[in-house]
Amino acid sequence: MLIIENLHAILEEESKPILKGVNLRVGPGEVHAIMGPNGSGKSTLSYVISGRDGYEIPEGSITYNNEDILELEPEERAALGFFLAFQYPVEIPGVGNMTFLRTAFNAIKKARGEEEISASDFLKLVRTKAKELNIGPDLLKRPVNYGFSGGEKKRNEILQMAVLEPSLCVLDETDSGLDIDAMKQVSAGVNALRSPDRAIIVITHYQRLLNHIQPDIVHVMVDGGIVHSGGAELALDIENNGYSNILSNLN
Amino acid sequence: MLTANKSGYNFPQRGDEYWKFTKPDQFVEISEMASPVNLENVIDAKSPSQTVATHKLDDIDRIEFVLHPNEFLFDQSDSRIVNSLQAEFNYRHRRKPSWIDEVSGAIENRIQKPIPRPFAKYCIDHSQIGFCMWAKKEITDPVVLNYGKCFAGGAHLIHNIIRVSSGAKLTLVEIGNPWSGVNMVNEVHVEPRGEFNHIRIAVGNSEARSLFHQYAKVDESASLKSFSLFGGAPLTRNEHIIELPEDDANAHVSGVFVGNGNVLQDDTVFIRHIGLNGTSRQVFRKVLNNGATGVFQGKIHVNPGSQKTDGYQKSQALLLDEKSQFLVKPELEIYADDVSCSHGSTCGSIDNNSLYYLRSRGISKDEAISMLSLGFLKEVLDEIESEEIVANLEDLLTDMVNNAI
Repeated sequence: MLIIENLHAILEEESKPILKGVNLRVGPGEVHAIMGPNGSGKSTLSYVISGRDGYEIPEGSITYNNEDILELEPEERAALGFFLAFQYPVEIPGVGNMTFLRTAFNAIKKARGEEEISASDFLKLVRTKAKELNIGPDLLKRPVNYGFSGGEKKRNEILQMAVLEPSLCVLDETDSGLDIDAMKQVSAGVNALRSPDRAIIVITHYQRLLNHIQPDIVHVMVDGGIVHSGGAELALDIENNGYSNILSNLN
Repeated sequence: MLTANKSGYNFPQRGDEYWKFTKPDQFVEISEMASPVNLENVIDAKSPSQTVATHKLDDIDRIEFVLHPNEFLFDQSDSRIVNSLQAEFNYRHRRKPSWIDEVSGAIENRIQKPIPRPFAKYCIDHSQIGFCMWAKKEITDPVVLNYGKCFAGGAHLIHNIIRVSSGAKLTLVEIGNPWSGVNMVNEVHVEPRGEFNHIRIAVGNSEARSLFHQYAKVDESASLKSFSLFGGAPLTRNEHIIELPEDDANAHVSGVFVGNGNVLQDDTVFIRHIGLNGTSRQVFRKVLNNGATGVFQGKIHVNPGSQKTDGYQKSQALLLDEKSQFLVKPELEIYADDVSCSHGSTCGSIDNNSLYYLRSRGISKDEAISMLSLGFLKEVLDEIESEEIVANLEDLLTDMVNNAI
């Protein structure tokens, strides 16, 4: 499904190499977790996958269902089924959350050549999904993420994911800034989206989240590359011992 | 035929203190061009200037006056008008009712000092078209002044007089984008505890060089809120000169401009606090694209002794390309020592994080820029009292932004 090979990325603004040969294969239905110390390139990987400007890719490839996607714009990737849940969801004053959701939904439908659904059906769809995520109607009326609490912002990310139904979800530290209850709600939302044809990549610092979203494979990223992969037990090992074992094995 | 006596009026020169960013020459030309008797000629003029905005307000219950040669047409049997509103057209051709005398020229005249405004004086001295409106009670439905097709054709001098009685309430919506240009003066007197809400919509493609003035006197515990929406004309100057001579008065002036191409729009606002406990707000936002220019000159003047004044001024522009520019001159002139006044101007481009966020959800770059621009402008609509009008203006603003980007 998603194949990343020898991916290098340079932050253009600082001419700084961040990714130094990432290899990752994610199949349909799989949940992968990426862990790693601060500054190892986890968020950059999520940005490069979703097509953010500002990175030069001197080497390597990303293919999705055998299609090279590196040249595609973010919106084209979204139309293919990519979705990034942001670590810091952006506040957009003046743009209503519901308007935003409907515009995104219709844009993706249009790009895929599918029929748009009626406004009333869309409203029903969003309300149902929002209720499942404990998102009240007032958050749908307010501007996108504007004045939302940390938990509300993250739940709003999962709501977008549930509405847009992507085939590849990347969650960038979705657990950061969440209390236990909010984390459970968000995790339940993500788990509800697990399906045999959908892949999920969870970027996190803490094993805690992985108690709720059980990964099939755990990767450890260090200094711009994936240096170690294992089963769910690897996360537990990192939680107990930190990265020192893995780092010392590398050396 | 009138001719402008330029020397007699001392029209401003380029570079005069409040004409540093906008050249006054074209307004001299417009004022001179304006003919007092050309309404019949222009009514059939085939010009593309239509009141494009009118249909956007069709759903709202309103009292409408449509400018037709030599009169404003309206439903004379409308009980809302009979009971609460006195309306006159073209007072120069009638025996002057005394209430008009009290306002006409008086408000403008008292504000000529310290900075003379020859264009306004010229308009008041020579205008042949004008609408005089006296709200005597609370008028629930908005009153719409539709300049209609009469704004087509030549340039005009228009002098409107508005009086809002003590405790009365009036919402006035002026709709129309002149084709050639206009020098227009509104003189407004809001009497104690009166409430005047004003909305000006001058939108649609035209060749207009227009100069709008609104002179207002807002009495004790009275309130004035004025919002303007501009777009489509090459040159517009929108001047507000507001005086709060008594205590507890309130003035909000706001505006939105969508500029695309070789256009300039200038908001120049003077608010003078004379009484105690006055509140004033100036909120302006502009989206500028393809070399458009936005101008904002705003002053909060607080007289000695006008304690507890609360003044606020904010002007912001979103520049969508490198050629567009926003020229600002925010000023505070404060002679009292117990006041709270602030001003701020910002100028920026589209936020890349926001753009990326929207695009990552499948929204195209152009559509995302439109959404962000619209979001930026829509916040100013919060300054308008009527939610019904806001909802209609949102649709209009969406069209304007989509056309400009």
